[in-house]
Amino acid sequence: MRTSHLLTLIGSFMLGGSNMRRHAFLVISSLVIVVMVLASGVPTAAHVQADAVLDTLPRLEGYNIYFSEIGEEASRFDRTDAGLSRLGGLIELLGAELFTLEWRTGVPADADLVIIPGPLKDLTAEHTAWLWAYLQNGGRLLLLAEPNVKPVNALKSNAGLFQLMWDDMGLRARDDVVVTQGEPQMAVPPADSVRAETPTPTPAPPVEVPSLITSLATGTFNTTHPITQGLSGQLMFFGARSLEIDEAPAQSQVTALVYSDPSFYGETAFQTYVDTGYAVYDREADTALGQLVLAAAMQDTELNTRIVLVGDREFATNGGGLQTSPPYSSSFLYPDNIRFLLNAVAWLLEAESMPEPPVFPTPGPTATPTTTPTPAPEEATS
Amino acid sequence: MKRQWRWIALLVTVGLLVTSIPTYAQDPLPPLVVFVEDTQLQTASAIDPGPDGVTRLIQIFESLGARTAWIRLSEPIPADASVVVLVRPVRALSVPYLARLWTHLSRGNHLLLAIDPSGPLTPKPDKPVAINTEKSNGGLSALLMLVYGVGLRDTFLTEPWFTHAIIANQRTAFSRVFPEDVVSHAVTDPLVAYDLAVQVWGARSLAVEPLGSHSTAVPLLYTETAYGETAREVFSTQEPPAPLEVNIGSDEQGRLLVGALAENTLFESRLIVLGDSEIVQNDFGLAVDAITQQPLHWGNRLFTERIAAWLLDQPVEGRPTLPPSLTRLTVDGGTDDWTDRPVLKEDLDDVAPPPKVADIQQVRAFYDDSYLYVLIETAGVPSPGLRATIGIENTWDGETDRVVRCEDERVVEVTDDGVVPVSDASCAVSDAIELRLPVRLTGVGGLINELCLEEHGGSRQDAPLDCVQEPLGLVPLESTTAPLQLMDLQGTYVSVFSTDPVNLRVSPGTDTPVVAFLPHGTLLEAVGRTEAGDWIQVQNAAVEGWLAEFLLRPNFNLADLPVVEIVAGVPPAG
Repeated sequence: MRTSHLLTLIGSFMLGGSNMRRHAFLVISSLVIVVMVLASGVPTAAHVQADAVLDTLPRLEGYNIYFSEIGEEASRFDRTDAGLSRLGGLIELLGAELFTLEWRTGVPADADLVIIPGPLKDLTAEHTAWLWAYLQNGGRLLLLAEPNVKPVNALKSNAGLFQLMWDDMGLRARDDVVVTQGEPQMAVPPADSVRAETPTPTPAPPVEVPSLITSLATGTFNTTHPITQGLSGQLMFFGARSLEIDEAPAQSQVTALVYSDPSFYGETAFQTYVDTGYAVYDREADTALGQLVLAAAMQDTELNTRIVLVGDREFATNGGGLQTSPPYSSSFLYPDNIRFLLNAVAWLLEAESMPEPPVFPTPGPTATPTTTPTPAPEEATS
Repeated sequence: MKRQWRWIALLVTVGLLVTSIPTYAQDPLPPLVVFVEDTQLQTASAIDPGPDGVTRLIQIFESLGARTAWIRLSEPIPADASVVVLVRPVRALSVPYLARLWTHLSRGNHLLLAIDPSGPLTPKPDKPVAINTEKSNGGLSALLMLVYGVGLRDTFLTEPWFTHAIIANQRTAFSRVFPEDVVSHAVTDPLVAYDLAVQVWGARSLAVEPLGSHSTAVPLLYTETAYGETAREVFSTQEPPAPLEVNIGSDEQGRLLVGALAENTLFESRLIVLGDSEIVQNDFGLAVDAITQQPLHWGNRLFTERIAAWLLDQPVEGRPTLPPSLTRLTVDGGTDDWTDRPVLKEDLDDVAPPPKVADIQQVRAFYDDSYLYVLIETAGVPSPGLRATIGIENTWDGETDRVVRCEDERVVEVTDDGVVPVSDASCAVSDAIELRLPVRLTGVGGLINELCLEEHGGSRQDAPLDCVQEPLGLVPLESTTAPLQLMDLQGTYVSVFSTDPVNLRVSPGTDTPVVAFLPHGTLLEAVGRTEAGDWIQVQNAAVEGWLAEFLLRPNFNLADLPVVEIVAGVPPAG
């Protein structure tokens, strides 16, 4: 019996009886919950609340979902801020069987979905070959691609998996970081600006350049796609890559799902900014200012392949998009991130029809977010 | 009534038409074989009829009923392609290329991969490019080993007589490898039966793991003479390059594999890997005689046809074998392939009863263009220790000119100076005694003058067990040709390199008689040279003589040949 069903029974019994009975069953129910918690090892409030909420979502029983960890992806076993335990737990509560992808012998034949949650290291040639063969035979993939800023060195836009995806499907992530300009700050231009013509080469003096803001909240969705059509709030990103899409009619149909605010651009020299604090908008190299695509879905009707690509790993991590407040609750700070992810999983699996968006408890006052949300775009650009 | 019959006939006709149309429409298309034509990989070209192209390989697939096309790996492989052929990728496959190839295989399709070792130069004289291709620990090799049990090794197969100059040029770095006979497979069965070698031009070795999850792998070609050189510095153009020598612990020795096939039962996919791309290239393994248009390397031709038929999943009985124009005879001591051949001599009642095992009953013999074949049948099954001595008369003076002997399943020539092994002759003892002797030795059109069987190991004074006393008669000449004119397992060879047929002469010098015309690509054993080194003494089973040095591509240092004394006016002895 699932936790929510048990609680429903207990609750109905309590409501309908005498005070004595209420007290008795309060004790019993508390004991039952304590026993269940001890037995399952699952955080109390979060589990119960999430379970109740997830009753509205499509069931995923019978589906096998494989998580990759070969490239130091966020782990579903990791309960820290960097981990993916909350997303894994939610999907498991929906009934899916979760496995870790072993890779050596490829993607198992019973895999209904592969999730690659933000590798820090690139897939090897063999892994890419296995994954591509899986996708070309009707495979399903949820891929979170983190920007290539140290220590990340994975999924370059013009190599490996993204080269294949671009050539054959018209979808890839760019080698940039979606940013908007913030308060000015003093920074020393990088080494290539050293004035060599002077008798003793000297570094350029500090100059005032804008700081860059990477965290962003966006409410600009494609409301026609099943993954995003029910979303009404805001999705939270914590340093994302922009996605490049070829929307020309083809066997592979790519649909942009989420856009940034128009004040954002794709900084291609973000590593330099991290190292020196210096970055200026480069019209030639950087991705042009505008509504940049942050998440997209691809569907190949002939191969029966589906891919959802999100340009940010933290979008789904415990300390990023799945932050809760208080941390032991299921009061998610960014509930639309969860709705997006669970909708994406359901769409990828073609599981039932899309549900009504789940409603999570309102975050409590003790929220201690691990990252600072971006100022609203209007504020950032003003 | 008549009208009714007309209607019935019309209905039947229409019915037949209607039923035949869908049947016709449902006829499956022939399998599609696609050749990778890629500038990035610099593959052997599917549209280039030149020396290093693979247009002849395409013809082989088409002759087996396949459709062919060429593709780039920068685009998805067509879903209806059954076989991908990838010959001589000079560079390693990029990740997307490998992924596309892997997708193709995971859908139950097949791959023919012919890949050279890294290091040597490609044979394009105008634009030599060092090969830097897939490594043993690369993605392709790792996947092939994992899923099929066949992997690449980072070696260059080096014969003991190879020099740095020889391995710097693929035209000269040739040698021969042999069909695997320890583990038999239908693909190589006819090559084993006819002792057909396969020629390679600078090969790498393969790793084969026969047993594995959902897969079986079978070796196809091997060498035991070469070692696997692992130091790429041997190809260095800097002086001095690393020495060509076996380094224990790093280089490979023993029975090294050059070709393998494998099947994955999970994918239902087939794989052929060849450690040398020239095996299947136009002017190398699939070269033809410019005059007769017959293959120069029947081993390569038959091997290629057999692997193509296997990849196309043709039934074993329908797969190509040697054409009837070739002598199809296995020297195994069996009588099966002699039934239609004429009896030269019957010798039934010369030994007093009881009949002895070594009592010669019947002798069959014939010539083709390169060999004299002899079968001696006895009253009982001959013992392996039996020794057969044959005297051959080929100068029409009634005297025996050459005496050869089969003992311990090897052939020696008996001369006044003792016995000399004849490495390119062979004999076997089983149901009967069977010999194959090079025409170079026996001459064509001669007769068997005498024939005796004796116990090997007996004293020289012991009387033979049985002899045929009188000449056996003229040996008939069959119109077939030998599939191979060099049968010995190892050797220092030269290959004729000329656009026109070259003159093989009796002795050094352009004023000496011409023995034969040899086409480009003819393989010969080099046995001697003049002191100046400008003429080389050569031979194969059919001919022997002298060729000008500049017409040859040797696979060894010609200066290592012994100098043959030339007496004016007298042809040197062969």
